[in-house]
Amino acid sequence: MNKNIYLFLLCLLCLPTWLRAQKQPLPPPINTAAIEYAPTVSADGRTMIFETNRNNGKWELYVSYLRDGRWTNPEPIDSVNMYGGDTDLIGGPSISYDGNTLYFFASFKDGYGREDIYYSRRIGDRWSKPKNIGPVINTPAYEGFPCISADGKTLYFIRESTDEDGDILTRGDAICYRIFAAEKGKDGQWQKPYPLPMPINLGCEKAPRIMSDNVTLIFSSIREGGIGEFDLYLSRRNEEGDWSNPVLMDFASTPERDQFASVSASGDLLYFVTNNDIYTVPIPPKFRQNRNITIQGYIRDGESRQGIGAYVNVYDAETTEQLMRLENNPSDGRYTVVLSEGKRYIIEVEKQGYTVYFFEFDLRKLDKYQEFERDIELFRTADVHVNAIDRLIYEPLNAQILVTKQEGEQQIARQQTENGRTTLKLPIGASYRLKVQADNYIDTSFVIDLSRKVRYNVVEKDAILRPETKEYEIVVKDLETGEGLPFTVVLVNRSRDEVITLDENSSNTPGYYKVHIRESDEYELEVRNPAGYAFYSDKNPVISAKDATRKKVIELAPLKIGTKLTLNNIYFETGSAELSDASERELKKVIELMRRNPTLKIELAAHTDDKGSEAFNQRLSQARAQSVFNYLKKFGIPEDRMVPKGYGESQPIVPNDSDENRAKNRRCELIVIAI
Amino acid sequence: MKQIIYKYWLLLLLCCASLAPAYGQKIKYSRDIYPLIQEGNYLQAYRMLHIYLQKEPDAINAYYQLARISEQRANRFDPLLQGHIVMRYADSCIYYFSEFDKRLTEKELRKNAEYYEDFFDEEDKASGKPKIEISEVKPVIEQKIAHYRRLKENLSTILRHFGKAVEHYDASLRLYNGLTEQYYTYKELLILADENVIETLNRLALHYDSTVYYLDRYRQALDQYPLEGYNQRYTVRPIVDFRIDGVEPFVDFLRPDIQLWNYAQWARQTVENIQKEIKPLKQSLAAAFKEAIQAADNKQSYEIDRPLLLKLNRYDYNSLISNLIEYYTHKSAYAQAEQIAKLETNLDAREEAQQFSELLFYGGKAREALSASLAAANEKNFKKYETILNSRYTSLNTLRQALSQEDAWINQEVRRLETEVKDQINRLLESMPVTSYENVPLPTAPNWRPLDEVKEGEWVVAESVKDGAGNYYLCGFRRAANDQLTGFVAKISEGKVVWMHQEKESEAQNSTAYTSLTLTEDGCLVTAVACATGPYSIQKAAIERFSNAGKRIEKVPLPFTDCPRFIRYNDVFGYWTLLAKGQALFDPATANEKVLLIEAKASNGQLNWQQEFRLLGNVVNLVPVERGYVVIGNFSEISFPDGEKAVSRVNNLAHHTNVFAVKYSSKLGNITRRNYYPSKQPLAVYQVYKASDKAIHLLGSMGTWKFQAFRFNPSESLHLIIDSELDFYYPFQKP
Repeated sequence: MNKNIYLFLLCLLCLPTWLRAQKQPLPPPINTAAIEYAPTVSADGRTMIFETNRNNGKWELYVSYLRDGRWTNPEPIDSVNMYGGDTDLIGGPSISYDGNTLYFFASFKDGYGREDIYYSRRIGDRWSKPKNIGPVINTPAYEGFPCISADGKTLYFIRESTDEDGDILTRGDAICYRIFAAEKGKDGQWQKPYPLPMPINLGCEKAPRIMSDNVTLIFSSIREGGIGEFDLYLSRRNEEGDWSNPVLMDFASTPERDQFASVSASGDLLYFVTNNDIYTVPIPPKFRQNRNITIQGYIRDGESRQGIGAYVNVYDAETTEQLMRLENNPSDGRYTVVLSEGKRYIIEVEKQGYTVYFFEFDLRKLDKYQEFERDIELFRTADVHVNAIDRLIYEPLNAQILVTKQEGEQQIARQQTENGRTTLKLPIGASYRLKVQADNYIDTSFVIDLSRKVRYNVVEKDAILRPETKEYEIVVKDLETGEGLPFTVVLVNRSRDEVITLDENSSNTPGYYKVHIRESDEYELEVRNPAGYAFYSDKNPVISAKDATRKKVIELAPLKIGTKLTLNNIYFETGSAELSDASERELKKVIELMRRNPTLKIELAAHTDDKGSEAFNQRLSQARAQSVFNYLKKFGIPEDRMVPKGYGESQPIVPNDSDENRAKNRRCELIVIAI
Repeated sequence: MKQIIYKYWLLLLLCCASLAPAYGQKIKYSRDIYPLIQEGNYLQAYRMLHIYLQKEPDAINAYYQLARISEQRANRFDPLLQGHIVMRYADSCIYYFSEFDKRLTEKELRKNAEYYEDFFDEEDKASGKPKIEISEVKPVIEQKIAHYRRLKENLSTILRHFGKAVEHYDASLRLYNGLTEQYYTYKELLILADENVIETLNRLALHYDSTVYYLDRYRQALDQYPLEGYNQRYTVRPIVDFRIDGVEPFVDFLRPDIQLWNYAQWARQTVENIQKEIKPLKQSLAAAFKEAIQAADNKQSYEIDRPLLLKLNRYDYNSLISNLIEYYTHKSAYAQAEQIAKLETNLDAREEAQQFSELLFYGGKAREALSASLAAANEKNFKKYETILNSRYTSLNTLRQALSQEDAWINQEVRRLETEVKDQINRLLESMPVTSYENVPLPTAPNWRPLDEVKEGEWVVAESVKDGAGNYYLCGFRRAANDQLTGFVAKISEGKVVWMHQEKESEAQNSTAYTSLTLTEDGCLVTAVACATGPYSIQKAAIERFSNAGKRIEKVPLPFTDCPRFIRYNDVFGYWTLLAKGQALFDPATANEKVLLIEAKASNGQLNWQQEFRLLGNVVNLVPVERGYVVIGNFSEISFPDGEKAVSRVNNLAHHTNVFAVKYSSKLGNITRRNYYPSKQPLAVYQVYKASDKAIHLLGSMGTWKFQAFRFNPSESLHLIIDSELDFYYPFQKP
């Protein structure tokens, strides 16, 4: 009989023991002979702060780090521990999920009553001096064991449970508490706390710990159905704000007081206190918080590379509702964000006077916990590359850029472009007017608005400048009939890479063109491939906006037998028949003419003035005609289509009575002899 | 044994009993449920009411209370942010109010009046014995049902439109943000755009259009059924600057003034730019590329379509494709020039130099374009013109390999040219003979040097020009025992002095010199100065005309006393141009001095134009080119009336110079081009030879040049070549 009872009891005991076997106390140096209490772990699970009386019985906060799978020797947080007096009670630490704020309670003298809630900010590897959270939360009575939600919006803590007469309720020798919550308003200030409703508060609760998903609450409670004194219970808040019926976390509960659960963002391991030591136990799936991810990193000034304080705003991408607004740690720029499954998030990192950075995470189908490291750089200034460009030919320009602030019109920069480009470093946060000026161009100006959210710190802007131009008329007509000829006219700018082409699309009237040419430049004029006509030959085919009359009339002779064209740009070395290289262009036109008109036969006639003997001039002119003949032949024009002939001084076109006239008489002509 | 079994079962029973759910007990409405409602514990009450109704499906007040609680919850949540919850509770309201309405009786109101506090009037409250008529209750219930039906209907429309608007705008934002992340500039986007990008842009436009459509419907729905706290209006802003405008994480659709970026307008404009500008441009480029390559392969001539390449500059300045086209064009021109060079033999030194200059010019240009192509051959640039380049290069690697091969070829050619160019120039310069005059050697090449180095009796040739018939015309001066200078002009033919004119001042304290010479059709023009012997400061300057026979025909005084350095005759227009500098004969620049350039009609000396600039340095030559003149010299500092200034890179000392070239147009005198040859090493040019408009050779030295002494401390020789556009294309390696 006894054997069977024992067997039965053993079976009953086996079940929880089997589970209990997974609970492990943390090894030394975490757990010691002293009491270790109220552990809190950071979101990444690598920092733990707990309360202990190992220092001669004084309750203090200690910190330890998980490195290479082991916890380091706990170190006292002196800035907190030595803030008050030797007899001050310090306890209930809770590290925020971004790792930047440590909440705890203490009985410092500067509080509002007995025990108050304080907080300390991380400065690098250290913590700042404690600050009281304020009278909205703290009262002359007891406030303790604070815990902040991952979105930083809700603080959970406890106050003593009292009856109608104000007496503190107890269960056995355990003091009963009630769990309160306080929320931050839109102004960032804590609002009046309220007790959590049933079924959370039933009369004897303590040690609330809100998980990183912001909806799963683990707390200790003495209530019907429990195993020991305080047991661990879990409740979840639904989207309507209602808390589910708390469920006993039987895998962790013991007959002792089970309290101060802490779970890292990964959600798989529970840290808690029982029997005055800190234990861990794997969390079964049904008790796990919603899956989430942790995003961590440093926010730095992009130029100095120093950490900066900034805000991390998290938005629901579907509704654009702001879910969180967190501050990172300004001492080193470190930030941590925990995001729960089920939503698509937009994370925006911003600081006034800096560019903004944003990115997206889609956690609608998150299957497991993940950690992401993302360092972010924000910039105080934007590099605005301004390219000053000629509107017509898109050539870079030497220009001056004047920058004024739109508000106040204060000039803040004046820069010259180099190879058409310059970079302006403009501070974020203002709007600027840029005026671009270049000689012989019409000024242009535009606004670069950096007063709103600026994502990129490098942008490019083309400042397109229109040259100052004047209208010029060009007329191409038949030499004999005066009829307008619809031939393509090309203007080649002598100073820059500009070519203006005028064709039938440029004018309603054939042969009559109006073109805008730059005021400062000269253009060489060419008539392209005038079919059926001799080509355009002019000693000075240059036009300019400075010409007295801005009109050029080009008369072309129709190709027929007897048509005579003076080749104005054929030059010879002085006193010889050697062609000057300046003749090349004109000669190419002759070649082109001959190629386009394969049946054309021409006479190449050379003439001289009357200086020198007649015989000499005759020989010279014949030699010159021959030079031209030889050149054309070299470029494939058949001999039988050309007749070189020297006329010496026998056919002057004007009297040889002045240098000018003599220059006119010294000429080469092309005469059509067959077509 | 039985006892043992009994004890086991008792234990088990106890265990089970302890685990038995509390709801096994009967729920009493008045005891268990209504007090919860009275104390405001609605959540618990809600749960209990549901359980109660399972047992008591006709519990009339239960329906009423459920409806009330549902109503409360429906009003608790934000209709936009938690609209689905509101809708759910609206549904519940309709259901529970309807069920209540169906079941309500007078009897219920009489029997359970205390559960209907909402309908108590003052009298009911005062008396403590409420009396409610069904006629008081039913209309209210019917109204509520109607209200929640309307709410449901309208809210679902509002939510649907609002949700769609947010969804579409979010999609727009993401697409646009994606484009800004992918493309650094708008031009880059245009030139790299492929069908995927066009599709993205079209989707962007559609999403934006949908946003506006749904927002307008949302607004209409709100007008019909206003929601408290929501009356959003939207404004639209155009996107002007890519990557500055339109880049946002999201837009807050909950604020009263929603600001939207007009993505559709921008996207459509971009698509239009791509279709109407970029695609045709690329087609033209493809044709041009093909033609240029064919020309190079077949050694045919090809003329670049400059307007096309200029149009491309708008989107991609100095692009890979334009450099490739330039390369193949110059390569084909080089090949042609090479062919002609092989055919033409029996050329004199000058003709050879001219011909060689063509090769140098095209070889240099080709090399430059090829270097630019190689530098631009990267993934991004290849992608920009992939469809064009694929006709010849299947991948970037293939392109790089091909260009490397071209590079090897052009370098080989260039090395050959570099080796030959020095020989060419030396042959040209050495072709000038020395002749004799009065048994004294008279060089036909200029041999000018500082005056204090000129010995007694020595002939100094300031300038020498060879005409087409092989005759040399010289000008200069000769030094006498008392330092007095006598100017001379001479014609040399076949090594013999044909004629010489000498000009000497009667008084010993005055000297004459001829400083510059240019040929005309029937003789020459020379510049003459009368200066004070010793300091050689200019007292008078003039232009003298000589006939071919050596007779002085004319002497035209100049209206200044700057030293005339170079005179050139433009036989096209019949003008002469003169450059003058310094107050003394061949004055070295010891200060930032004025350089004067004038052009006048040769027939009557009428001034066409006058230009000047300031120079700390010296002018080496004035070279006529087609329809203009190029001033070439060395500068430490140079500045122009239009404000342009340049300082040599080694301007820590005045005699550390670099080379400049400035081009003026004839007839109008405009500066059409300016260029400088920058070098960290001091360098100076002392001789200029024009082979052709494509090749103007500048010979000099690297090293410092002492202004005052006109002396070089040369370290190595310098040879530069520019064309008439003042492009320093040789040496091929830029400093």
